[in-house]
Amino acid sequence: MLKLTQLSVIYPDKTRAVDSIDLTIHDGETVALIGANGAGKTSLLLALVGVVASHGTIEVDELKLEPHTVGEIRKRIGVVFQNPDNQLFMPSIYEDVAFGLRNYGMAEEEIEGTVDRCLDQLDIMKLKHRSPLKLSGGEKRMAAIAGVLVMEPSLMLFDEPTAFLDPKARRNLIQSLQKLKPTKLIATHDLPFVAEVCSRAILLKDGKIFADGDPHTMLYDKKLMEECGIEAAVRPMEEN
Amino acid sequence: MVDVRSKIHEIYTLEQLSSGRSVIHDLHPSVKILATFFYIVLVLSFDRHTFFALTPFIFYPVLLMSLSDTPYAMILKRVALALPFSLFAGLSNVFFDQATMFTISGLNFSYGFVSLIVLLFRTFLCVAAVLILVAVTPFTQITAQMRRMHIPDLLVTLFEMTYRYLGSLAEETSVMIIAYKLRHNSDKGIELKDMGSFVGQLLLKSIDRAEHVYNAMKCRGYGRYDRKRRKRSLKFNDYLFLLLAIGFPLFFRFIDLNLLFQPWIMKVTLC
Repeated sequence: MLKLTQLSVIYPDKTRAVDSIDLTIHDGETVALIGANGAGKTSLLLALVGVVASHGTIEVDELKLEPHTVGEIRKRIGVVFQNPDNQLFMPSIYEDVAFGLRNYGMAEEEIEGTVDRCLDQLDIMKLKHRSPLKLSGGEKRMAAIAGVLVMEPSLMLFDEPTAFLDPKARRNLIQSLQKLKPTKLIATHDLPFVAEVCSRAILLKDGKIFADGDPHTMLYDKKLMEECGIEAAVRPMEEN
Repeated sequence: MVDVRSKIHEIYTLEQLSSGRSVIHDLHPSVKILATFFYIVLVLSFDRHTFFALTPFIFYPVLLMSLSDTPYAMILKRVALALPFSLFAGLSNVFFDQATMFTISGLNFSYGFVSLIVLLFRTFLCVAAVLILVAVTPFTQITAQMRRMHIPDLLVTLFEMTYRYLGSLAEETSVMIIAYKLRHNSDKGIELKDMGSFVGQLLLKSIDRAEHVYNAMKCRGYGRYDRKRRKRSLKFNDYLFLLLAIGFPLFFRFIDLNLLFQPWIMKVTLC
């Protein structure tokens, strides 16, 4: 369970990217974080793992984020970044997926089996010995997810997971995400994706929670969405 | 532009071999690092005019490559990239040190020429030894071992970051060159007048990118090295390798093969 109390992120230039947020996300939920550019989505995600300094309280499974717990928190929360190129920096996918396991002290003999199971789960075993430099956007995205999933986090954060993906890769991603067990918090602009994957949506505006509820009603509320600078989703029926 | 990416890809291809399986791959990383270090020190300890005594040292890279199934061409191609630097460094010796060292079939070989050949040979041996180490030891194990050897953390981190950012830098450079060429009415590359802003932007973008990469690394536990990692103890094979890798070069360092070749050289010279 993730619990945020009065969480704020204030940058050195005094910009309040996240402003006094109170939020609880329960185990097994798939929550969308929606907001216009600059609404504070990425800042919020980075604050949760202590990459960006924040005020207030962050608790993951009753463990508070503090300087001495940051390592354990990062083990419990996995982050899939918007641009997979920033995440994949090892010479092969195998090495990249093993990166986190090695940092957390897993023995070499156990690493290969764990990596293989994870690649198999995401159906990307064929990428095991490939170089990240030679992969397509969709393949890079799945490899980046594998690098996080392999550490068995209880909460996974996704920053714009459908960015740079073609329709087929997007479809694959949706199917993979639906199968993933950990709790998910997904920052995105892709409203049809939210409607398909998420059970709850949180609307951010100027770093504050503007609305929190069922995506199937919220996303189609034109007035609400426009107030946050987002174009409301079109119901599948209306498309026809 | 794509060339920048493929060159970087070539460097990483060598590292990909490190996940292979062989008797050399299975050795403890500290043993491989020590053996390589010792080998390089011995190779560099020879006098700049000593060639024949150095020749047995070729066996170390050749044996390691064959035992680890490392493709010879892959190593030779990369070593060849380093040789021009030594060639330029040693070329001046040929002109300034023209005294005859020995003669074969009427051909005079000057001290300068011999020192150039020795310099090239030593470069070949040292670079090959380092490349083989990279090809048989995962990069993470090399840096972890460096930390255990109490090499300052700052230096090891710098080494790691530089190596990892090479890919990002190449990617950034490649994209920027493409964007430049598409809006430039020539195929000659970047003009000198645009070079300043190009390099400046590249630097700023690289810093930005580097920060993102670093954040991603931290999110997956980077910086927790060695606190929890299980240490592997040395096995019989490790001791045996270390004994051979240090023993043989030491033997050849102090048994001067010049002495064995001397009568033959004298004979050729007299002819």
